[in-house]
Amino acid sequence: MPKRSADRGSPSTKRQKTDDGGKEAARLCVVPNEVLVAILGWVARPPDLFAFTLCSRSFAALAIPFLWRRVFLENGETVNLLCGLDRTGRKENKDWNGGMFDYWQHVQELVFVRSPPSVRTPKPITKHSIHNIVNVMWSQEETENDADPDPAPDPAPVPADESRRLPHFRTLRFLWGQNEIVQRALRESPRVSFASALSAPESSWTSSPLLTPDLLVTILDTIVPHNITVLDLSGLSLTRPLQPKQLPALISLVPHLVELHQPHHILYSSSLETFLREVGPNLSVLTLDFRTASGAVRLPSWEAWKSMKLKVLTLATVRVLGSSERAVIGRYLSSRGAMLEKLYWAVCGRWRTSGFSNWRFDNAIINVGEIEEQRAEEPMDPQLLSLHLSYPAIWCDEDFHRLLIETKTNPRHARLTELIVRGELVEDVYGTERPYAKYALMEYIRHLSPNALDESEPPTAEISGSSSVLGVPDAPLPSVSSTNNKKGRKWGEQDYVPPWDLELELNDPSDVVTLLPAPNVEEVSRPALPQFQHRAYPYPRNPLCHVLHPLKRLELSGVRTLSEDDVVIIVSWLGAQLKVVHIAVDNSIIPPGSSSLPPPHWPTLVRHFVNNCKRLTSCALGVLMPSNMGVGDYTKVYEEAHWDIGLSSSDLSEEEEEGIESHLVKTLASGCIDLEMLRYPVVKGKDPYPHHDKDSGEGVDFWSRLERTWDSPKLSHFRK
Amino acid sequence: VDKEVADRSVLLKNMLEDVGESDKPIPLPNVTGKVLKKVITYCEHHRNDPLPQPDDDLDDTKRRSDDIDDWDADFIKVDNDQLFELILAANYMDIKPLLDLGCKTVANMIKGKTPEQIREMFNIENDFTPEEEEQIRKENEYVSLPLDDSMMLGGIACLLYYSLCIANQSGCQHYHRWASES
Repeated sequence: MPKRSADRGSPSTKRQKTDDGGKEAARLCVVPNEVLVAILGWVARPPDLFAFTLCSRSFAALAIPFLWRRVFLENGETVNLLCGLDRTGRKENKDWNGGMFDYWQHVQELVFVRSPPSVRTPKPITKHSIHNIVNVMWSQEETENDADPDPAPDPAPVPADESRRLPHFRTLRFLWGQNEIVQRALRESPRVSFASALSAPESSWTSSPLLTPDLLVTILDTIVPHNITVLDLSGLSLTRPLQPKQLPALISLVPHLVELHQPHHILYSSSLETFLREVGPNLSVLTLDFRTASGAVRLPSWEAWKSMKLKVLTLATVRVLGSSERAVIGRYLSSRGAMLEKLYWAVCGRWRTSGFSNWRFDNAIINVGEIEEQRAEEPMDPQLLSLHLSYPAIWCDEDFHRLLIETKTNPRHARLTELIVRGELVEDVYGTERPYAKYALMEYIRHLSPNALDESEPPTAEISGSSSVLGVPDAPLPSVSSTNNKKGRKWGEQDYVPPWDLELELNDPSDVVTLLPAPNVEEVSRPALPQFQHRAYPYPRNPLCHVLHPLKRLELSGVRTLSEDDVVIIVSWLGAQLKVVHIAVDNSIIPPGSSSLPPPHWPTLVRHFVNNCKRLTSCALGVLMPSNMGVGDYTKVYEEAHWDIGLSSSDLSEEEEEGIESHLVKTLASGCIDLEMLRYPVVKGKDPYPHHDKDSGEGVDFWSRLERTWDSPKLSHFRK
Repeated sequence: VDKEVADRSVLLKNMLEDVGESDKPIPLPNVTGKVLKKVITYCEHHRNDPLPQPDDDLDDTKRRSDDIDDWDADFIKVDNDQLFELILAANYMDIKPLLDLGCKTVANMIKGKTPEQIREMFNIENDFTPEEEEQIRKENEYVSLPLDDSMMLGGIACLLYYSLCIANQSGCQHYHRWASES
């Protein structure tokens, strides 16, 4: 059967005569494809899309990609995709193959996802599933070969016909349930528990290999056109790594690779080096997260790195790098670091000893030695937009401070919009608190705020609907009143007006951080910086911390030793003033006995947070716990309490949203309930706030109030 | 027509900007007078609405076809012919809100219909062979059903299969017994 093109029988080319006197009917079949696609975009339910698909061939060609995409987006389980595809690989159906191939023509990205075991997986991905996908293409080729009356006698392997591959296919991803892409899909899915997806053990995927090396090569050779640009092997584990003799085949199959993730999942260390040497010059994104490797992986040598010009580099290790490995990566960062736009850094090893101490994202300063040739190169403008520092990154406190100071004081890094610190950065490996790093971080955060420079205002903050004063003993807060919020007062109109352009309307949700330093910002005289007086740890205050970054995202995850007053500063300054669009200070379980603030502090903070978080698109409320919790009760209840305001507002009507918001303000302001509790009702009878009722005098009916809150129809969204 | 109303159409807006101030009529060859009148009614009603921005497109997951306000719902209550003429006109004149309204309406009309009903409703010719149609049904039946339904159907199918097997086996025994006796 001849292969049909996707456009054959296009609705736009067909016009039908109706029975009413030959009048040309303005029906669905005469609507141009672009309009049909627009209509399909509004068809939400997969069964409706399926019915649409069955109307005609041309409709099917248009609707099938929508159908599968909808299934993926709504179910959040790409396992379904494979389950569905599982039914396509029927070799016995050789009689009809053109139609299916038409649909494959639309496939741009093929994602294999292994869901974590806690997610409902009716049909986990198996080798059989993938075999069947391959079989679809095999049957295609075999059928066409069968149809050839005079097959070429040449026994030599004929290069695969690119026209028979998926023409739009550029991306092949093997993911697993905890991958960020999957997580996003899970979060957006009302049918899958986000929490359960996150709780899967990370090692689950490694225990059961997905493919044999031969099958992987077969997939790459059979389905995937040789011009794919993205190969993500994050969730792939093979029965054994590819043998060195298979490496040339692999290299020849992906000559145009631009984005490569986790190649060590399929390669030995020696092969990895060879592979990177070959494909490295084209790469712009490389992920080498050795924490997911099943065995010890050696960092590729300089030979593999020297030709790479990466824009995004993720490097993570589970062991302390050896001196030669540190020298290699240091050499790369020094010579090519300025080209990086994003750096995800979770490398064990002290900077000081690894020769990193003077690396400042800046070619001007190179302290790695032995790379004189690199000095001759023209310095490049650093492009760093995002810096992720993850556990188990261990630095000297001084180096960490230097890094932070560098990122905020060097105008050349003014493009940095994301700072994500994950893990126990402020603790060392032995769990000992590292006060210097901690307060360097806090100082950094504090100086991101323009109004933090103002000490003329009293340290108070009026909260919406309340005359309470945010009782932060040492941290001055600017005046942020609800009336000002409603009127859309511009930042700094009443307070100290910083010299840079601050055209931020308080209540404009579309407004994002657009703070840019004025040209002569260093020359403008400023009020003296307020003292951040901590009880125990003095720190050197850097008077040069004047350059304001357009920071849009700050994440401090797993930074366990942040205390309540640290969180107050983060929430108040970043949430209230900088309009950082994402704040997460999750997993911040405060150790028992560390609380030093009086009980009324937390309810006030909660109120303050809720009042200000409207401007955030995403924030974590996991930190919002009362300081007077019982010792044994601060377990995992508060972890991962992300509240995506953007998502909630899209799912709710305006009225519902307002209702929830006001309800939350009231409820959260009491300090008794946070969103996590609303989502996961705690066990009745075990009061997590044993002292709260006593202190606030209003918690007598705490449980009944919680139940009422939980049962409220307006909170159905959070009950999912 | 007021310029403010005409500006609802990106096509007209661009043409007016190109032509400048002029009293000459602007030709719209792909739109009939009746449909144009309807389009103008829509634009006049929505003259004060904010113009859609390029980044206004919602994520697919956030789209809802049932959030049509009362006036629009009343406006779009037309026969199928006129509905598609309106959609085509909105597409041609680049009036995104009207196009969205038309597409939402069609999407709502499709909701819950079988392929046969859709074909009948929109006069679509079925050019699938029975084998092709069956093949597509097989390939995509999984996604066309809710997860639980498909699992339940699978279970029912398995039960039926085993029941048949058992019946067949016992039938064979009866047959053999009968055959040997006779």
